[in-house]
Amino acid sequence: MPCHAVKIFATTVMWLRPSVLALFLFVLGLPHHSLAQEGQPAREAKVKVAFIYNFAKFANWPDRAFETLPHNSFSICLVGKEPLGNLLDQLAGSKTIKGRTILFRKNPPQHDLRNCRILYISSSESLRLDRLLKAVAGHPVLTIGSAEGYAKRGAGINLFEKNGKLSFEINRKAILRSGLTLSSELLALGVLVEGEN
Amino acid sequence: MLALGVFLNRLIRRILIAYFLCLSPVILSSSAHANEESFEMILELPLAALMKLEVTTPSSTSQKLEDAPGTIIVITKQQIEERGYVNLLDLLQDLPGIDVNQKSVEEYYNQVSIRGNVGNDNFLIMQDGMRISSPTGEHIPISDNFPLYHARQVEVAFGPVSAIYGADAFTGVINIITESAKELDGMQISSTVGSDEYYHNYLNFGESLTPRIDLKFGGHWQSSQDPDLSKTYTREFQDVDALDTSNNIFRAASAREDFVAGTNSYSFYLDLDINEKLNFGFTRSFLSHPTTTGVQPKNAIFDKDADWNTLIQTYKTELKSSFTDTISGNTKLSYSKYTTLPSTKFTNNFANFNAFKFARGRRWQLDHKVDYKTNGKHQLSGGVTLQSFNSIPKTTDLPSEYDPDKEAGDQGLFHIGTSNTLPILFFEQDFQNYGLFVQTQSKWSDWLSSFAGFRYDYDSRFHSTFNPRVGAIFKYKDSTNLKLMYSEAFLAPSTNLAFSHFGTFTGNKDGSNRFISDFFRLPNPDLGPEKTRTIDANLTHKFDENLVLKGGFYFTMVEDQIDIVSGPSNSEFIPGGIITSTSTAKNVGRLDVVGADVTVEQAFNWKNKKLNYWISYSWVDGTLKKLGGVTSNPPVTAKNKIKAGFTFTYLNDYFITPKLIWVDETNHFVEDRSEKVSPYALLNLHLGVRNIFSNSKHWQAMSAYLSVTNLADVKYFNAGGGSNSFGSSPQDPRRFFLGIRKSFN
Repeated sequence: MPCHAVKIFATTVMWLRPSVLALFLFVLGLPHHSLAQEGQPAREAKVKVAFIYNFAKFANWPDRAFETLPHNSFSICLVGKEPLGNLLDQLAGSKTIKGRTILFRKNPPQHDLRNCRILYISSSESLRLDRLLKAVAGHPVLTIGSAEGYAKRGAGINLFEKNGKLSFEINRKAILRSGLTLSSELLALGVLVEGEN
Repeated sequence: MLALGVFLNRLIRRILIAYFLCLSPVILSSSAHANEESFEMILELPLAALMKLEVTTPSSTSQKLEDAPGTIIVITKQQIEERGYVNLLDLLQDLPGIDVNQKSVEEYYNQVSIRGNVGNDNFLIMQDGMRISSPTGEHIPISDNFPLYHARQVEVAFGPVSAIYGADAFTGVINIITESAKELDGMQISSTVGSDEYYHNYLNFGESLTPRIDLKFGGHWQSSQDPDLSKTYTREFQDVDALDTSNNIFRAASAREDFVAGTNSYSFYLDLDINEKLNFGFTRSFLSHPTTTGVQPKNAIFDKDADWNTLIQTYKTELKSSFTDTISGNTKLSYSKYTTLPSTKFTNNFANFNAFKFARGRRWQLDHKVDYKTNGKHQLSGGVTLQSFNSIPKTTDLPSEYDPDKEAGDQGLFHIGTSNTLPILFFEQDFQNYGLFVQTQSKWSDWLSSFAGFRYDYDSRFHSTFNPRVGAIFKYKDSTNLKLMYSEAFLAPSTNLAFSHFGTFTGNKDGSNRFISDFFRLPNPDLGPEKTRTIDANLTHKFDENLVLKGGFYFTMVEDQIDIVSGPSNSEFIPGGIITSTSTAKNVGRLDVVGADVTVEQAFNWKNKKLNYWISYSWVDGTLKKLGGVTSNPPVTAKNKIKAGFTFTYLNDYFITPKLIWVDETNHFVEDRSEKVSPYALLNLHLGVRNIFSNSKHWQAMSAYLSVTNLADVKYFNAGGGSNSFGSSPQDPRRFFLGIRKSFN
């Protein structure tokens, strides 16, 4: 039940003219520093793409890896539902990797996955992971995932969140099987994990 | 008094428009100077620096379900897809504590009862935090007019939440959260065909136009002839004489028409987001359903034009403000309009087998909310709401369609059966509501947190309401979580309930030269709000990551419940007429409900396969006390319900979901009917393949689905809703639906 103070307040509000209330709202509603900060999910996406870009800089592909690609190009593919497509598009439009133009493809057909030089596998693809990894087995593809257990199951690099920050783990055997090498800086910063097989 | 209401309404509307016009340039200019940490800057950072960047913080992370104040169920996009939920009603049907009675009411098609309290107007339906159900609180049908093709998740909060949302958050709040443009990143189109000429199509598009501007929009279109129930339920739909209210034959059994029950719907939404801070949105939904729904054939004739046509539109602009690292704000300005379209037509005996209806509700609303967070442990929120309403309540039976281009008083319409002599009255209403709320949420230790708050509302019709909410959350390790809550809420009397009136004249006159009517529903302008108080205990225990047990217990009291009671005899409510019997709405009821829900969810994961199952049991009991000491069980509610199902997924792309619903005998809406609706078990099946052609360049993002409702093809009934309706309304036989979906990225 409303106490006496609430009743007084109620009476005040009852007689408060709408215009005064609206003025109060208007003052409150001024945006001040609005639009100055972006949302955290957007930031996570940006940081993930920056990680992918850095991995590309610190990984080495054999020369034969680019023979099947359009001239002087480097292909990055995204599989699944993580909302990184726009940012990878932006990356492709503004940066190069190893002096090559970046070609970005989202959800390419499975038989085309082998032509990706970086394959990012979204967390939504957990049950399909084995099939995706099988599709690129033996091809120079750096597989990057973002879900618990991806590296142990055979992805080359897996991003994970710890204490609100992103880190990554590396499955060295998977990298070697792809014919790729990683720089010592990358190996030093990542957590090394053993694969399940 | 009316003139003052109109004046206030106009004044507030002008203020709101001025507010919007003043604010917009400020918002837009500030966006140009935004000091954003750009993508380019992040790209240039070395790995070691990237690893130090925070991507989620305690203050920005969505609140964990177990920490949220309230009993909340979240259904994800994946579950929506794998369980085959096309619209909100499909989803509600599978949730514990909810009774869904379909095809049972002429005006609003179906009835949803949450925790023993029936009423489609008893809970809010929101999309991305904005109310998309009727702004003036009318009973509305819940069906394909609330599609889920665009939903990232649906959150269903049980219990009274007026302490935050104000009026009508009485039994719960449903929030449909749509996928972001970035998540969509392209376009989806889908087409489904099914039994009984069912067609359902949708398009959904979302993309970042620039790094700062996201656009998404989508729409659906659906039509269906629906099953011919007269073939399945021959006893209920046998050809009988159609009788008027004086039991005269209007149409003889030998001349009865074919059964028709088609529906159609469409919806559209658009959302423009600037830097995740400024948002413009629009929604529009339409449903046409038959006004012969659930009516016994002797009381109505079937007519393909006898439809109830509901249209709801909402426009909003929202601004999220960050004052400091710990203080943020949110301002919303919205306009919403509900219309029962003039083409709405009744062909029952109350309407002399041919009459039209019209209703319209409009609301301008301004909300401002401020959040203050300290060190992630305490949060204080407060806000104000300013609402201005205009309503033309549901009209009486009209001899021809209402002309929305004319003022209500200029319609020139006369009561049916009065030889165009007794003019029809319209009760256009202007009213306002002002609300203020304060909420606190505190984490005192690892095992104890609490929340408390209240909302005060002043409505120009029924004055003030005060709704508190308090609760405590106890945690034991990460495995067990107990919430204890007390909350209150109020249900504003819709103008529909307060002012709707209907009935017809016989065409005959009495000795005083007055036109005679056998029956009329009369308005009650003094109708007050219903009030509810709920005690709620909710326990969640995780045996491990894959096995969860949830249990809830609640006790709810509803006072001043609105009921339709007998009105004065020989009323002269319509000047020049005499009405022999009447009814009217009054705050005379009291409902006490006690109930419990138990749910077990478990997942089994293998390398390429996954199995999730759920099973819930709901029990609810109580007493509805009505005028004169008449008591009954909670209407349109079954005492026991079991809902279960599982989804088996293989390689992410292949899935199958059988679902079972068992509903114990259900109490009728009309309590003096001695029989109850028989128990039934309903089996539904949904299966699908995603990425059918995973190796095809053009067709790889193609999915296909098959749904079968009422797989066992059982005859079953749902609770009916009115005096000329079936007490047990026949339901659909087995139906098949086959759909495809293609994504373009």
